[in-house]
Amino acid sequence: MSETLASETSAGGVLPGAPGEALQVEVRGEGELQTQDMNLNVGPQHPATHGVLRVVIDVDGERIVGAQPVVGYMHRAFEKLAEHRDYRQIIALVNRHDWLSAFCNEVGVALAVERMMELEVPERAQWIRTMMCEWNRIMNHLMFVSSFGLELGAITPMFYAFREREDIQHLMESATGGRLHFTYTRVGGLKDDLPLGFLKASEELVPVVRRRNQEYRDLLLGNEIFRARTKGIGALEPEVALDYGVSGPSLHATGVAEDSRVTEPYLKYDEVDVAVPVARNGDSYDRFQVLLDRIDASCDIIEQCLANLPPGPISAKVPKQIKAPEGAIYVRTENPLGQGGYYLISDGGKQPYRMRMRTPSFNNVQMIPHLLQGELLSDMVAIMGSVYFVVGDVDR
Amino acid sequence: MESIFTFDSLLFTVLVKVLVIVAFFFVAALVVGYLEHKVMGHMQDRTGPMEAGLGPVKHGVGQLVADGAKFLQKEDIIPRSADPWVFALAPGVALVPTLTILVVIPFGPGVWAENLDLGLFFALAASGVTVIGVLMAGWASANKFSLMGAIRDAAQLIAYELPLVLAGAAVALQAGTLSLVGIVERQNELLLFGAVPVWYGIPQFVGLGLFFVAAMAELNRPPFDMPIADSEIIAGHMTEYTGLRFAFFLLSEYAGMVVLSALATVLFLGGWYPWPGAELPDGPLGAVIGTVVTLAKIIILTLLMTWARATFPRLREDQLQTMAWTILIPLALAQIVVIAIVIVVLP
Amino acid sequence: MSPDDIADLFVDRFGAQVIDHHDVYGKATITVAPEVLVDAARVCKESPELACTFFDFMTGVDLGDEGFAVLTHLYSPEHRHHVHLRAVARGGREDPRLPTLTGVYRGANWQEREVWDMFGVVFEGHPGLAPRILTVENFEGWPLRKDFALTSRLAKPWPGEPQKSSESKTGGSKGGDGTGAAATGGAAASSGAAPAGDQQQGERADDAQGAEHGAEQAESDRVAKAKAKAAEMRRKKQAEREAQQAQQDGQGQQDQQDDAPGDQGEEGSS
Repeated sequence: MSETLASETSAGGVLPGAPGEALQVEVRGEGELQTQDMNLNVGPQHPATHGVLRVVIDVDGERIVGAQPVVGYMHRAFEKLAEHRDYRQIIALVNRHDWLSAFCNEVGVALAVERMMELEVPERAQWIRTMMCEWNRIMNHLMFVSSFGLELGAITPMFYAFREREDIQHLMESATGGRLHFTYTRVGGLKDDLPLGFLKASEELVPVVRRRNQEYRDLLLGNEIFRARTKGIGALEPEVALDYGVSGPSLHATGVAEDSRVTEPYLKYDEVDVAVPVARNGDSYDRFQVLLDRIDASCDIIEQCLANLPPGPISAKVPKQIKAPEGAIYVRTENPLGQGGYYLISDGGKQPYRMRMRTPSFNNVQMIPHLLQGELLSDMVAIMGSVYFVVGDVDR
Repeated sequence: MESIFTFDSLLFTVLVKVLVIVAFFFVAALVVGYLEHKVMGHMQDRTGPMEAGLGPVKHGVGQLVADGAKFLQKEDIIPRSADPWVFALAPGVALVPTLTILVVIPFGPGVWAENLDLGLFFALAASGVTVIGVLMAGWASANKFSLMGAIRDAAQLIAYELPLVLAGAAVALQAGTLSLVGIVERQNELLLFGAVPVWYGIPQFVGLGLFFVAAMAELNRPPFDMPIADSEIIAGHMTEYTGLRFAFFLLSEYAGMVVLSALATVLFLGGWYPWPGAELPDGPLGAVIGTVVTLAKIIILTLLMTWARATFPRLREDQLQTMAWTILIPLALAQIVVIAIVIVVLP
Repeated sequence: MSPDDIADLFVDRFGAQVIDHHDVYGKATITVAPEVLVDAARVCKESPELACTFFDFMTGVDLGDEGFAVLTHLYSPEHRHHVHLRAVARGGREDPRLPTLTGVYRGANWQEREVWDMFGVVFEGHPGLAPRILTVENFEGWPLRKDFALTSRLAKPWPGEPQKSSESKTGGSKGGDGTGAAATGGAAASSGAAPAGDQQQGERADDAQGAEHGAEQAESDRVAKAKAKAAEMRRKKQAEREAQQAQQDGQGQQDQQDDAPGDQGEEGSS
């Protein structure tokens, strides 16, 4: 994406663009003690912004006076591309907008099409899908556990979390063939059955993850410096969160227990106990704590899936060319980062007429300027690291 | 006692001393850097550098040598809007004072360059000059992030100089001398309650803690590395530097670890004596034993710093300042008062 | 509340302004006239029976000749029901406009910016639709409109699809595209999207003529025109770039000349 000149917003503000642009300065105070606000570009290349997110901030010394995220650096036109792909190709496409929760995205699309076609997905496939979604959730959360610690300066949890992620990725690879983009779901079920030894390996991995999750609690949540950096930072009110459409750990940390697995159960979530951890204050500490609690909750769900997995076919009979009947549907799933959804309008053909991807990160990132107002620069990192988002998800 | 590096010719003496100090400076930084790579690696459940080796020995011993060679052959880039002279000189200003502190530090009986009567004063004064180098780098880089890093660093170093100096002053008070050699020798004679030989680290354990924490803050080591916090301001004042100049900044950090650990050893941990109240044999054997003991203590302290780096997140700048001004400095002052009273009251 | 009850509530409130309502897989979809869109949203948010405080998403839909519809999805965490609020933008395809919902929901801000960026629907009263949120700031065209062609599918059919006679042959080989475009190749791939969008808007009139020749002929006509236009834009951009380079130190110019023939092979895959 080429860097462009500053453009006028309709409200008259100027968004600084190209390097070499004149500094935007706001001079305050009079006389000899004049101070100037500094206009700083955090990103798009920055170690802390989780990818190509750019935040243009006005700082007065170290205090942020105003912030404006600039997104779109990773726009890959997924919605346009989806209109030119048939339903099997779309599964490989939607892997990629939130690449850390690839399987959950696939399941969302498959569910949308299956509901429109009123397909009956076999039991075994649904249980396996549930279990894979939860493993994916653990992988996603581990990534953010590690990166949040890293941004605050604790470099060690990153290595520990990636150790776990490596084990889980190995497990997923044995079943799906992919470590990050699984493309395991198909409309009507799954691609293949689980390999031999998968269930045993899963059973052995769950207690390991649980035990190591406790390590993260000790190493990070219990650390004085961590608490000092995150308690009270970036507190979000529930009404504001709902107004922006924030979902996932950021919303649960404010106390609103809105989770699609509970309110509109899909797959087999109505037959397992789904714990939805919530916290009270909505600050960065709570968001992180909710993340760790969600890992434990996912471990519980996986154990229940392992106990209940029935034998049977793993895919329903589907025609070679899958055509969704005319109509529109909105299916929402609880992705690891929040609520993901697909609004699918079909005209009866084998490609969608319109596929709108409701991505959790888009709404979560919109909320960031509200949280950054008046915070210190160091807190900006603590806040942005705790509002979990993936830039590919924001831009699609 | 005289330094073992004393020869008839003054010129030769000075030359030898300078060479030994510079050699030790670089070698010590390499050793400490290697230990940090490997120890931190093992703490993080990985092995650290394994491939780079020196001769037949592998296990990553040559990693830092290779790094040095890499930095040497890099292009020397000075940003167009940077102030060229200030930019070029800043790493030197940050590095050289740390080097000069080594002149007064004793490593064993007779193993020193100069036994200044004002040894401690000189050491602490020189350690304060590095701030200027950081400010020069931050300003001359013409980069907003560098400037923020430099300002943070300046504030941090000013705040943490005080506990450092006050803790050192308490030791000088108890020893009755500012000469580092004299402090070590007086330490060896200290008897707690007239009976148990201890080093200054025991009665002044508060001072030891303060000195160590302040040393970590002086060196921008985590958890005090906010000025070079790479998740916020890229690399602070070092952002625009490449090649040899960047290597100098890094060198000043590792060598600084060695130097300040050496100071802590001398002030609080008994210097070159293996245990409190020990007596070393005269002559070269004593010098060798003393040096080995000092180096071992230095390495233990640097390992502690590495451990702290692997474990803690970093403190926010204002929390850092709050800790310095409201906790550490009052503690240091209180300690001086207590020590002064104890010295006068007890024989 | 069930979708029918929700629909009844809206009909009671707004009467004839509620143009349509139906139950879409258990979720109520209410189509209202644009004039009452903001009031309807306020009713959703503030009335205790609906209490739709969660702003989910907003999307645009290209309805062809009717213009554009904008659908807002709202949800109530308390009552656990959904409302799809839909409105067809005034002004058809030339100048679609709708009132903004940012006064009611904060989350509407970016969602409306995205709908504007993708479809060109102007939201009156929005604090700042520009700069474009997802595409490049100087992007021309409205990407998700149906007449904005996906140029990669124009240049080459989907791999494995049956070849459709001469149209795809000219699509496959770029040699026929000559006309000096090859010699001035340059970094054409990245500028493919922008000029295509440009020429698509001007081409709507051409499309009408193409329909007379029959579907396939229209396809090949459009494809050929698209490529010619794209080549022309590429040439123009290259000329501009060279002029700029001539002003600066011309060190890169040699490279550009050398690159040109090599780029020919790349264009087929753009």
